[in-house]
Formats: sequence, structure tokens, C-alpha cells
Amino acid sequence: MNTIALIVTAMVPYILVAQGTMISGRAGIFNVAQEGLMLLGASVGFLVSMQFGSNILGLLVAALAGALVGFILAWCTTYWRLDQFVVGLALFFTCVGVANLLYRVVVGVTTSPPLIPLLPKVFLGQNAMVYVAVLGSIGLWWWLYRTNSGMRLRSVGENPKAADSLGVNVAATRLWAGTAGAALMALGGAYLPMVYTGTFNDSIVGGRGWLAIALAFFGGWRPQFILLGAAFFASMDVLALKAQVDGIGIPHQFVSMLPYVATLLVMIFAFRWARVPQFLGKNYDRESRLVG
Amino acid sequence: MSEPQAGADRAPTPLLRMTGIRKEFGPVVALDGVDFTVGAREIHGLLGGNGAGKTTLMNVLYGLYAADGGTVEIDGVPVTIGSPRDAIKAGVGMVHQSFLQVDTFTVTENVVLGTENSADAAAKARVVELSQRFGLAVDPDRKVEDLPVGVRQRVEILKALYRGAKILVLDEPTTNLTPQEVDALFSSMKAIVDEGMSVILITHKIRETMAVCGAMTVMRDGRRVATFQGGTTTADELAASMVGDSSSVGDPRNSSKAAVILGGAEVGQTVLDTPDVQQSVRAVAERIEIAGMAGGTAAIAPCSLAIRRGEIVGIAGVAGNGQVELAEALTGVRELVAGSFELDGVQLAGRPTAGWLSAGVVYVPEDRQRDGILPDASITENLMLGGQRERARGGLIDWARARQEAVQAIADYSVRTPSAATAAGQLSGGNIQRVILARAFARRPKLLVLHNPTRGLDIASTSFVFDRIRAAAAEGCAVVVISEDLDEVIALADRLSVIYSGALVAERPRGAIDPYEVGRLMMGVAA
Repeated sequence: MNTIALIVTAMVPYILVAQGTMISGRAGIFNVAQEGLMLLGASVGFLVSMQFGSNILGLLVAALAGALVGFILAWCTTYWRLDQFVVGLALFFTCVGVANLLYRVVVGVTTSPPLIPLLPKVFLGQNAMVYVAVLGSIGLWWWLYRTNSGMRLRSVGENPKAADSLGVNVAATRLWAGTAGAALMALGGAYLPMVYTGTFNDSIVGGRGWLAIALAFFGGWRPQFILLGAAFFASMDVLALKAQVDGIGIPHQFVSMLPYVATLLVMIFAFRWARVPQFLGKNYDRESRLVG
Repeated sequence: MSEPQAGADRAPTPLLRMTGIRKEFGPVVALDGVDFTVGAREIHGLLGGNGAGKTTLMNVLYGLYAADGGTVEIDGVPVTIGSPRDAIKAGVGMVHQSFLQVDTFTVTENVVLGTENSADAAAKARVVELSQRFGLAVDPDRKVEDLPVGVRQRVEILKALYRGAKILVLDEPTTNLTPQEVDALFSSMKAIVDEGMSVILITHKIRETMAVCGAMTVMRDGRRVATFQGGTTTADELAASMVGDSSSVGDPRNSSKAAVILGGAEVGQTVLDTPDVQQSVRAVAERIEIAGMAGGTAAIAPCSLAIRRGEIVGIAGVAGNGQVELAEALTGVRELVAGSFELDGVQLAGRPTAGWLSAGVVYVPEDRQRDGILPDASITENLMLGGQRERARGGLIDWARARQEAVQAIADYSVRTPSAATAAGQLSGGNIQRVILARAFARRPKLLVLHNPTRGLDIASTSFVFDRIRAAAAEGCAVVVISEDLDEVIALADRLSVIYSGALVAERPRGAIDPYEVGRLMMGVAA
């Protein structure tokens, strides 16, 4: 496979997970469990595919598992107003544990892990998820800025009190956005065994979840820039791989670091452009005197 | 308009009838069985102090607070309002004192948010049509964060009109407007009433109330005190029922003072004696340069300011013209980029904030909750903030003394609180301001900088704050009052400066202040 094709394939998990982060964040929910949700998605997606022989079913069930976790996060932070970071980190650890546990319970400890078939290439040598992710991002951009429901979502993450006063259902918006966002994150995780390895191992995510948070900031919480940023992050991935395999003279760890450095630079020099939703990471209490 | 009912009942069905509304916040009864009625095509003034319950009553009407009792009827039909969505459906629109807008949205997006419509060409055309019909000039494509306060307020009114409000509630709409903008707002209100809607005007300014309201309801301590029909009352009578102490308002000196506070006094009328002013200069800021919020860019053009002992300098301007930066620079919170600042001949520029504090500079910030207090800390702790070094004994805080002082301050400043251990964030805005002032004056300031010191306060609290500021000046303190409320600056200042776009553009002595001229200066129109 040529380099471009490798990059396009590698973009998909970044796109899905960062867009998921963006959707939750646009409702004010700052999900930090991406790494765990991806591992959960990878485990569930792999196991379901293996048991039922269907990658599509694997992807769907993985997304459902992610949705459940996202719903818990959204519920805890919306109705119980628990700290988003504390709940998010707790869910991260829980997801990691559950993902590994499920694999051990179903597959057991074995030296010859079972394999599932990889996603077939449907068009131009790429799998269907590539087209879902890219076209989905463009659709997301149109939806967020051109439709009424997209505008409602944005308003909840910017100023929920204003949204509330105009009859936007803040709690419901946070619940569905937190749920849908986490479903996308798990979906991004389920992609990994189905495209790269054919099997599950506990280091399959390899930091992509943390990078996706950085990508959401890098893309200024906008779907179109997240799509572009994902291309950049994926090319760093491929470059790091090439550095490792072909030995291009620079340590691959250095290349792997570049997306983080780029994100930092964007945050420093373009912080107005890369502005985050105003209410990101906060919880809304209608009758509080201190909201706003 | 509704038809008069048949039979003996000759009164037409009121547009809005709220009956026996009750609301409790924990042990505090905020509304105690309030009855409130508004007729059709009526501008109804709702008067009363902070804690009187007028905003709470309207928040119940708008579904932001769930009432603990009582009924609401609109056009004679009982309605259940559990959320703003219900209120909007029932035809209620509300413009809050702090605008509820999404800063990053355009005017059109803010207007259509929450409706079934997208911010498309049709929505934009409707916004333009409404803005022309009611004289509410706005550019539908601008982001609201770039708009001045007066325009953002029009956006709020457009939001309600777009939703087909029959009852429009305006919470203290004139506080931060120039006189010209107030006039324009009132003519828009009349246009709204002419089209068959009713307006509820929450205010504490009697002059305005008398000028535009067809009826007035006064609230105090969570109860309705009285309702007057237009032309059947006087400013003094209104003031008396608001304050609830007719004897002190009956005293001509006090009632004229109340009238000033309430924006009722005519301009140029000096109501209070100017304290003996010692002519020695106390604070000099010489060609100071101040960096803006984002760093880099200058928020304030190089400016100079000299304040004498016992002098009150007022700085008027529309919000967002550099007031916060100026206030913070004059108090050592924000570092000066260039220039010098002397207090009693001592150079303070370049010193840390603690140096300014111990030199006698005291700051009462605009945003009480955010910059003025620690909301989760007790009143005792908040009162001690900034003075903790003086209350230390052997490196430890002398809590017995701090508590004793807090109890004394609560008594002296009439802070309404269950105890000194109550978290400051639990108090109402007026009581928080009393705590901040108690802390400020306990430091015996030489230079006192106050930003919007009475915003959102009732007459009693406002009068109290004014008295304290004047008393501090009389003792020789130099005072800077930065306010977006022109009536407040005019009532207090010995000398008035206008700030526009980061520059002090004009200065007028007391007695030579024409509010309309100042209003033009505030909007950047050369006088």
C-alpha cells in the first residue's frame, strides 16, 4: 500500500473519536475516557465479530457499549452534577478493565489468538468505514452550522442558561450528545482489530484516544477542521511507523510526539481561532445563583 | 383585547393574573403569597428592592423557578408553567438583566434559537422586519459578542417578539443605557404596547416608571405592597412604599435623596452638601498605559488622572470601553505597561498588589460573585481576605478576633444572613455587596476604586452605599466611581469623566453635566 492509502486508513479512528469528543463537548460534556472507550470498542467489536461472524454487527454492538458508557457519564454530570474529570477518569479505568476482562472470559489466555476477517475494501482500495468517517464529518459540519438541531447543540455547550431560557432542553441535549459521542469513540476503537490486527490485545489503542482529545482542540471543536487535523495526525502515525520499520534516521518516538507539539502550538498561537465551547467541562444548575 | 365580562363584573379579563404565588429557597421565603395583575396593552412597572422578590416573581412567571404555590392565568385561562418552554408557549417573553445570549452566535441565530426555525434567509428577513416595526435597530449577521450593551438588549427584546410574546418582561432594562438609548427603548416599548401586547418593567428608577408606566406595583420583602394606576401617585408616595418607612422618606432631605437615588432628581440639582475638600492631591496616575484583556493590545490609551483628597471622581461609559482594565490598573491588580502612579507621593507602579493594598488602595470590583468574594468561604473568611496578615498572631490567624469583627461588620452593615459562618455565595447580591464594602472600609482606604457599586441593589442598599462612599470621601479618601449607570455617576461625582473606546474623552465638573451630552460622549459622538 502506498503512503497516502495508509494515511487515509489511519485517519478513521482519529476522525470518529475526535468527532465524538466534539459532539459531547458541544453540549458541555468533556469526555476524557476516549482511550478506555476505544479499548472497550475494540474488545466488544472483536468478540462479537468472532462469535457471530459479522463485522457490521461487531461495529454496532461496540457502538452500543460505548453509548451506554457515554450515557452514564452524561447522566452523572447532568443530573447529579458530578465532576466530569473524576467520572470520566473512573469510566476510563472501568472501560479498560471491562475490555480486558471480556476478552479473557470469552477467549481465555492463549498463545494463538483467534482472528476475524478484516473489513473488505469497497472502493479505491479503502474500507467502507473510511467513507462513513469522511462523509460523516462533512455531514456533521453541515448539520452543526446549518440546521436548527445543530444550533441547539452548540448553544448548550456555549451558554446553557441562555439555551434553557429559550426552551432548549439542556438535559436531554447533554444526554444524547454524551451518549452519541461515546458511541463514536467506541466505534473508532472497534475499527482497529477489524482493519489492522484481526485480533484484540490490550495495547491495541496505543494512545490514539488521548491524541483524539488533542485533535478536538487542534480542530477548534469544528468538524471540518477535525477532519483536516485527523489527516495530519494520521500522517504522523504513518511517518512514525515508517521511521520504525524503514529507519528514516529519526527516532519514531520523536515523530509520535509531533501531534501533541502541534496541538500545543495551535493552542498558544491561535487560541482565539481554536476557541473551545464556553461551557466545556461544566455542569449546569438552573436555580444556581452562580451560573454564568 | 379581551371583551368586558357580562354582568356586574365590569373589569375586563386581565392579560395576566398571578394569584398567591409562593416561593421558598431553603428557609428563606422569597415570595409570600403574591397577587399580581397586568391589564392588556399596559406598561406595568414592578418596583421594589433586591430581595423584594420582583425578579423572583418574574422568574416564576418565566418558568426558571418552580413556584411552591399559587396560580397563573393568562387571558383568563389557567396555565401551568414548569419551564421557560411552557412560558414561551403561553406568550411570556423575558429580558434578563444579564443577557442570556450565546456570545458566539449571530443576532439571527440568537433570535431563532429554541424555535423550530433555522437561522436561514427567512429567519433573517423576519428579524429585520421586527426590528424595523418596533424601532429596534440591529444588524442580523453580527456576532452578539461584538455588539454594545444597548444593541444586545434589542436582540433580547427581538427574541421575545419573534416568539410572539404577549407579555414582555424587562428586568432593569435601563441601567446600562445612555439617555438616548433609554428614550429609544421607551418608544419601542410604546410601539409594542400599541400592537396589543403588554410590558412588565422591573425597575427601581421612579422617574422612568412615572414617565412610561400605566400602572405600578410595589413589592417589599416578598409581598405585594401596593398597586397604583398611572397618574394617581407621586414620586414620594412610590418611594415611601418601596422603602417601607414613610417617616424617613417624608423628611424632605431624605426624600430628595431617595429621589436622586431613584433617578428622580432633575439634573444639575445638587442635593447634598459637598464635603470640605482638602485641596491637596492624593492620587496621581500619570500617562499610564494599560494592556488589554488579551495581553498585547492596549485597552486604554495613555491617560492621566489626578484625584484630590475627599474628591469623588466619576467615570461614565458604556460597558466594555476599558472600565475593567482601568479599574484594575488603578488598584494594582493589573500591571501598568508604562507611566507612574503615586499615592500621597509614594510611587506604587511596579509594586506587587500587596504593596498597593498596604498603601491604602481598595478595590470594589464590578463582578461581585466572581471577583469580589470566595462564594464557598464563610462571611468571616471573606471579610478577612486581604487583611489576613494584620490578623495573624504568631503566624496563625486569630479566628476569635476575626469572628468577632465579622459579627460587628454584619451588624454595622446590616448584612442579612443567618450567621457569620454562612457561605458568602448564599447571600443575595445586595448583601454580598455589603460584605465587600464592610471589608473595603475596614481597611481605612486612602484611594477607593468602585466599579458599578450599586448595580442590582435596592434603594435601601443603594442609599447605604452612597452614604458610605460620601462618608469615606468626607474623611479624606480619594474615590473613583466607575459606573455604567449614568444616574449613579451623576449623583455621586464631584467631577465626571467619560470613557470611550479606552480613552478618557471629556471631563465635566458637578453642576455642568448635561446627561444627553454625556450620553453622546459615551457613544463616541463628538459633543
